[in-house]
Amino acid sequence: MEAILFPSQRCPASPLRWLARLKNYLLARLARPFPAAEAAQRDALAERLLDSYGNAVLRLAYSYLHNLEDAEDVLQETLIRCLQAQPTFVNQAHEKAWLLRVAANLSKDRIGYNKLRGHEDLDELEGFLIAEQREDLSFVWEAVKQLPVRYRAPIHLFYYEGCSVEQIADILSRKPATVRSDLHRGRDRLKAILKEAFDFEPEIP
Amino acid sequence: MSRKYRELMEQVKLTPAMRQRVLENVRKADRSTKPRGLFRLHTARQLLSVAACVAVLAVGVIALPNYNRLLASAPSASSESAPAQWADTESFSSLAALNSAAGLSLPELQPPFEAQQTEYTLLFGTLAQVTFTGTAGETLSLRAAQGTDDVSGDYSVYDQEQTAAVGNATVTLKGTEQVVQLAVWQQNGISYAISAQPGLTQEQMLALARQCR
Repeated sequence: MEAILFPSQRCPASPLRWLARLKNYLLARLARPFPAAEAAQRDALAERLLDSYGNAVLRLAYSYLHNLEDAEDVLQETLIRCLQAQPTFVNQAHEKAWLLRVAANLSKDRIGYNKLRGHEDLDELEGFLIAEQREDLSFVWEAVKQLPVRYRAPIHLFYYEGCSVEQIADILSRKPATVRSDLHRGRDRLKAILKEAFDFEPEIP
Repeated sequence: MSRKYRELMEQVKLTPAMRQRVLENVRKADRSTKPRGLFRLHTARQLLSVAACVAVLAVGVIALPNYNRLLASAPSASSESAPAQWADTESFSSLAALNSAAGLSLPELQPPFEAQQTEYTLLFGTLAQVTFTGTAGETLSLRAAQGTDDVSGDYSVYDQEQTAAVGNATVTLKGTEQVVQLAVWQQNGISYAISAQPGLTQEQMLALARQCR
């Protein structure tokens, strides 16, 4: 059969192999998948991403924005960006890191937008903790909320997602040394508020 | 701190209502977005020159090897082909005509739904495709071509993938936990693929594969 769909197919004339691959690639793009399959596959992809990483993305966004409505918007936009970009992932960790990076960037944009808007949104988590009379957690949340924007994601990714300094650097597009410094400064700020009431395990390397 | 912070963040979670809302909005946004692909290159001003080079190369690479064949197969009065969507697509009015053009002997599949429309297409002169569309929008497509390469054109990663034996062929079934959406196999020097949307049971898909033996 004549090579049609896949770039990996070989052309016997080796000097023309790259041309044959280009042709195959173009034909593969033109020969769309089966009718109606594409939309269903994209829906399935959105569902899989949401079920696999929805909570992680939502929580990272919440750590920035302190508001569920904004965090949900960030989650939604993150999925849309992923469907539009359709990046190739080498593994699940890469996939999750990509989504968290997009969510972090969108969250920072949202903070800027909210500042311009002069809008102060409801902090649902605070309301929940008050309703449940969880003073111990309220105390921690109040301290975390006071962190400058720059320290929020490193602290969240380190203490909640359990990311290493290198992973955080990759997600936030910062140097590892900068992340380490941000983590130390963020933790020192929390310590100043929380005093010795809480341990700060694990140690920042 | 770590434990308390973790406990805090566990309170922030995706609810079923939120999940449904997000998926619905993502679907709407996805449908209203023009498909991305090679042809978006023209929108990037800095890549215009690259796109132009690729286009020239592509036309040359596609057209030159087929030039003689295109000359030889000038339209004749007896041709059953309808006006093609593009140069390498040819439509036929019957399965027999498609089989004759492709050099195959595909069976008349019986889809597990009432087919409102059936299309017979030959792609690139070698890849036969039969597509059934049901009254509720469901589709079933069979692709076949000489050779052993995967002819599905479907690059998706499915949640579920398993194999089943049909005669002396091994059929690869792909889909979700509930339904099978793609079957791919090779038999007697012919590569087959069946795609179904929204999907079929494993038994239905394997029954269709058996008809292609």
